[in-house]
Amino acid sequence: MSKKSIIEIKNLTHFYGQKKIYDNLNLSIQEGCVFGILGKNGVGKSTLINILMGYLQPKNGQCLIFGEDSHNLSYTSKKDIALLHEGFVAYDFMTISQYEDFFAPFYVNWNKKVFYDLVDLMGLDYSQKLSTLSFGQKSQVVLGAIFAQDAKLLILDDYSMGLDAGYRRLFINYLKNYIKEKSKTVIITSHTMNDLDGLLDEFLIVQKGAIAHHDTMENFNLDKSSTFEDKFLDFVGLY
Amino acid sequence: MINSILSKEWIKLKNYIYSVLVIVFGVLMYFSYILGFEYGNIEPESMMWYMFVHLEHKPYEMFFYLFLVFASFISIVQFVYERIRNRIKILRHLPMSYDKIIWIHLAVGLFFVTIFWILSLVFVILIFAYYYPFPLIWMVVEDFCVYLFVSWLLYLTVSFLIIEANIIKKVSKSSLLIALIIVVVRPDFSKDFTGYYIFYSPVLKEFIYQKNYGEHQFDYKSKSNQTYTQKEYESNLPFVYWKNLQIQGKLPITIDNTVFDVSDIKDARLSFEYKPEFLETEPMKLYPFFNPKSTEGMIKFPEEALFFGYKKLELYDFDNKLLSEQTVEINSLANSAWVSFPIQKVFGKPTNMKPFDLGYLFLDNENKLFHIKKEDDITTIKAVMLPKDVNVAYIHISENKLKKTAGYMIDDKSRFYIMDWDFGFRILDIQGFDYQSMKAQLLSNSMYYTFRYNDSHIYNAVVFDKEFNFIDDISLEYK
Repeated sequence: MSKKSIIEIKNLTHFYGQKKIYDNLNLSIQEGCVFGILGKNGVGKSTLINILMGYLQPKNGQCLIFGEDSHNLSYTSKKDIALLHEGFVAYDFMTISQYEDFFAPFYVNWNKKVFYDLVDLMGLDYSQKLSTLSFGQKSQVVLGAIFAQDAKLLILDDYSMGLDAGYRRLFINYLKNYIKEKSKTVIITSHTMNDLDGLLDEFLIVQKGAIAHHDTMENFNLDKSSTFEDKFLDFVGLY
Repeated sequence: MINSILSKEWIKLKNYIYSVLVIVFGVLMYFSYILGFEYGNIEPESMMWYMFVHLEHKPYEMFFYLFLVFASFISIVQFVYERIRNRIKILRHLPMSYDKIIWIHLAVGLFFVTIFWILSLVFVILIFAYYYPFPLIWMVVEDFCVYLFVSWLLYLTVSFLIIEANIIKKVSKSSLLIALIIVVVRPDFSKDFTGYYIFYSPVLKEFIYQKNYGEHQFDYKSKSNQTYTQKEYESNLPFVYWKNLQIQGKLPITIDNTVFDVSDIKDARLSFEYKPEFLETEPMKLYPFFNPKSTEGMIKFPEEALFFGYKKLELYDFDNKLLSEQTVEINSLANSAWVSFPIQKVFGKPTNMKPFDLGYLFLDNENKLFHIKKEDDITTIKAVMLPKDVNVAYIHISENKLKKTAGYMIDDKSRFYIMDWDFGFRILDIQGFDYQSMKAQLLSNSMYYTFRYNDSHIYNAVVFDKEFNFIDDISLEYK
């Protein structure tokens, strides 16, 4: 039985001034798929997320999430999308418990335990302000709020930004366990590839002004001559 | 969900709110200090009341700017935290109407602006009431309402500038709000420009005028289209440029077999001005109640202030505030003269910088004109006879040394009357004057009265002899 399409991108074209970011992009992301949007910094990964989340109106084309235009998502659809903003943006003036208190009422499936499990991994005091946490500690609080929503679709924009290898590993392991138990669709953007091998089902490599490669991990890994990271670098180039 | 947003805003803003409260109380203390200082250095204290009502000396005006700063500050601290790379992201992704979320945030901001306003207003009134008579408190409330409204508008303007990512929406919303602020504040951008200065020359026996092209560019001509140099023009107007003639040793001057020396010319000079703005009544009818003494040369600024109240006249001084006994007495005089309340308009010159005091004229509720005056501690209120079928639009009292004319009156049909020293009225033969849109000036010199009036496009003048007999007129279009 074919899986339901969660995201449909049709003929998407977007540019900033003369600089073309996407040209007639067509893409379909199926339910339960862990989809990677990969590429170096500044090639337009976050632009695609901004378009998908309705922050940005594309110049041409259409993006559908749960069958709704991404620029006009209903509250029901928004409840089913957990979004990690690039740079782990959060309300730094809040304490950890205030942060949890703020988001909880918006999501019917909110799982307080999931939030505090992640916070407890850091051994943090709940009355600590986010502004006083290290970037790695703060990332766990933000991710806690993402996972606690129990959303059908997780959009994780540049999860690795600012995180050291330890925190990245911690996050990926948690994510793997999380999606193993529940059937979640995940879109993840990143400029580093090392951690994503074994997580992604499908990916898109984005280069300046074009899509360099769209493939499944299964197919991509048929070639055993080099590592995932090396093959990625072959597509995007070192500089 | 709403509680969640309210709680977030309180967590975000509370430290700023506490800081602002400290500033508010600091400014209130400064306000109290500065008011005490001003009152300690002025005598009599009622002069502060006069300055407040008639010269718009508002000691609490600093609160206006304070509210504007608070409004902008609250908006900035509220929404700058929400912006990520020029966009409001976290709020926009919440599963709730984005418009509703934004309006809840705006309501929070407006609420805090209003709280500061209420606190400031209450304390300002408490301090103000110690120094000023009770009726003036309403002016404080009225002014503060304007301050609040403008602060709200500014708060919304700054907020939309931060929130809106779409440049067209950003510009249209903020422009609309700024336009609304301008309508409420009404800043005066108008330039006072006179296109023609028209005089009647006693030498040429015709009108001559100076055309003003702006930037100090002038042209000098007569009604018969004769062109003059500046020097010729001035020499044809000896009653205007008499100082030049005096320096050149050309005074006294003989015109029509009459000799005019410096004192003749100076003593005969008189000017009454009228502008449509004069029709705007004082916000509060509180006037210094002069009490000139026949044994003293100078009119002292009085301790007493006369308030034309809604139901009665009231007298105040600084030490006692309401003077109950004197108020009863003055109302008894008003009742005897059949004055009906409320008083519609009051006319007079509320300054002691004048050679005489003619008191005040006022229109009662039945549009009857009365004269109220105090001299040598005796107050009088008398009805003034108006010409038949005349409804007063404006009266200008001008106490002058000539003691011949006491000012002018304009009725609701734009007819212009000279007011005698004993409040008799003499109509002037003037065509086409409209008091609602035109400026006017009555100039007196040793031989003529000249009435000039213009709507900034057509400039008119009529000249009369000293008995107000028509001599000539002129009309010039300014191009």
